Amino acid sequence: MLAACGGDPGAWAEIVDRHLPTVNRVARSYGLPRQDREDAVQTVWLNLNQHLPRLHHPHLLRAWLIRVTGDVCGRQRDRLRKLVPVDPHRLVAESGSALVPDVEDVYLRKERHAELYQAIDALGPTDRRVARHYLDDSPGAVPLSHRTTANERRNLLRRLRRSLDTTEPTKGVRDP
Amino acid sequence: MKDTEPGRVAALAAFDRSLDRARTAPTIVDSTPSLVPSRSEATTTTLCFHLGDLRVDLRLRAHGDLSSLSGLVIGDFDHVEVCLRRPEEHLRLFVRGDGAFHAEGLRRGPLALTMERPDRLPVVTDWFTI
Repeated sequence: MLAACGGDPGAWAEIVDRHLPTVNRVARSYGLPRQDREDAVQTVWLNLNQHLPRLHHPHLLRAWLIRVTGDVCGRQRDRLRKLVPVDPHRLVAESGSALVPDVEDVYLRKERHAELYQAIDALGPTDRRVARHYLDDSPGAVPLSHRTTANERRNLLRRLRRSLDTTEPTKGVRDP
Repeated sequence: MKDTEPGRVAALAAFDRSLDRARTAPTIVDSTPSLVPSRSEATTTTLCFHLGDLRVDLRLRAHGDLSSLSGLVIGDFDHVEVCLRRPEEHLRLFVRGDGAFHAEGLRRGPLALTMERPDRLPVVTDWFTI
């Protein structure tokens, strides 16, 4: 190690030849894809090169390499685990819940929401009640079919559609 | 010889004594990408290195096979030079007056940074993988 610190590439090669199988064995135990494993192993040797002047106990070098290899490979594995491939259709479905909402989406949604409630407020008392039941998607709400009759729902949708059609077209995009 | 042992060439290439005098800025924050699904094709990792009066915040964004790096040197400095180190490759980065720097089109692999200020020992970060 002293010779390697002094700039002797032969001494470095000896360290590599003595400990590379151990480093590779530890890295392989993490089950990383080949390229990630190779990057991790190279990072271990770059770190050893950097820290070599501060390592004073050659008999602890093996343990140091095992620890650092574990750290580097563990980080690489965590990074890969968190890269979750996602179906684009699922992304669309989740856009309103799990995803961080886009500012423009929030604005348009709010605008559509305001337009819808404005149309509902223009309905008669019965339709207004049915519409509010219809929009109640709270987890504890009983199914819509238990709260309104089929006739009420049919009338509501017809009047609501007519009411939305007569609403002044404003900024933003209306639901198809 | 043990030329057949995988990684031997890369391990031998790691030997470089040119920065033995440098001080090491250890990693104090290393956040892996979020589990939350994202519309963006890029994944972001945040790293932070700290040594004495100097701190470096890094954001790494992976776009497929290539990555970009945005960083900010925080601390007491009039002038600082940041160099991106890769095995057998050094790239000097342009640092703005506020300490911000940027690099893009980076291939995957190990990476480290060095910071040099006039009349000070150079500072090197730990090696990390992009």
